[in-house]
Amino acid sequence: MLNTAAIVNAQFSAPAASAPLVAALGAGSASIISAQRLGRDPLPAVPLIAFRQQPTTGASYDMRGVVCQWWVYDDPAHGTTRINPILALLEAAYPRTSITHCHTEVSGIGAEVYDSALGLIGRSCTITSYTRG
Amino acid sequence: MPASSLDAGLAGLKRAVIQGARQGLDQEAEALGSRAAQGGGFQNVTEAERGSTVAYVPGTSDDVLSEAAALVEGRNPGFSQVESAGSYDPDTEVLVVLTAPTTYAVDLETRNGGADAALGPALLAGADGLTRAAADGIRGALR
Repeated sequence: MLNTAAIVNAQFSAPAASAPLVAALGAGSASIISAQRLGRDPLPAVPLIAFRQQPTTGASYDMRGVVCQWWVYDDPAHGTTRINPILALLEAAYPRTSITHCHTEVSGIGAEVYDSALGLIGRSCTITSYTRG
Repeated sequence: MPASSLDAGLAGLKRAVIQGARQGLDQEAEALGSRAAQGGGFQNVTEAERGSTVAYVPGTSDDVLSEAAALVEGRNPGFSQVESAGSYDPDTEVLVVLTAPTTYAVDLETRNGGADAALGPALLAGADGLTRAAADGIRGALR
């Protein structure tokens, strides 16, 4: 059976293991949070990255995609000058074989958006880990 | 067989494939739109947004979009918005559009890291079904 929880945990843990990525964040590893905290808790220093799990695609007998999204946020005063390098570091944090029994790739980079609730500029980075359940 | 007959046959095959994919996707689009309308943050999504969340195949079911925009105008006058997101070649491409024609749909999809998003997650969850529907439509057209 597909161990979605283990794959999601691995997806969440990957950025914290990347020293260049952690160094690029406002408060180091403290700036790596769950997206559930957005709009609820005080946020750590920007730039920050927020993790959201997305639906797992495919029927149980198909090749399935375990999908997550990182939202990279920064102060609008910086535009995307700090966000874009972080996106590149995020991509580098997920080599194709980095998650056991999966083929992992960056499957999408979102356009720049102004988050009206947070007052921050953000872009999303979608990671998909393909595996057979 | 003359080359002209071969060319005509291949052109007919291409038309059948495109038409089959379009029919298959049109059938799946309604289910996709319904699933998306059930998603999103319940407390933060207007009835206009939820009721106007639709999926359609341009060139086949465009009336779905115009009906959705009319629904928004009825519920939230001044907040309907329909924009063209680019062009495509209807002879070689088939599209499915999943949208809610409101002025605030993009905001709902992105604020708080997509906490209230309905379109994006529904599209992710429905991508395999769309592929399967297109393949089934093509298979049906070629029988």
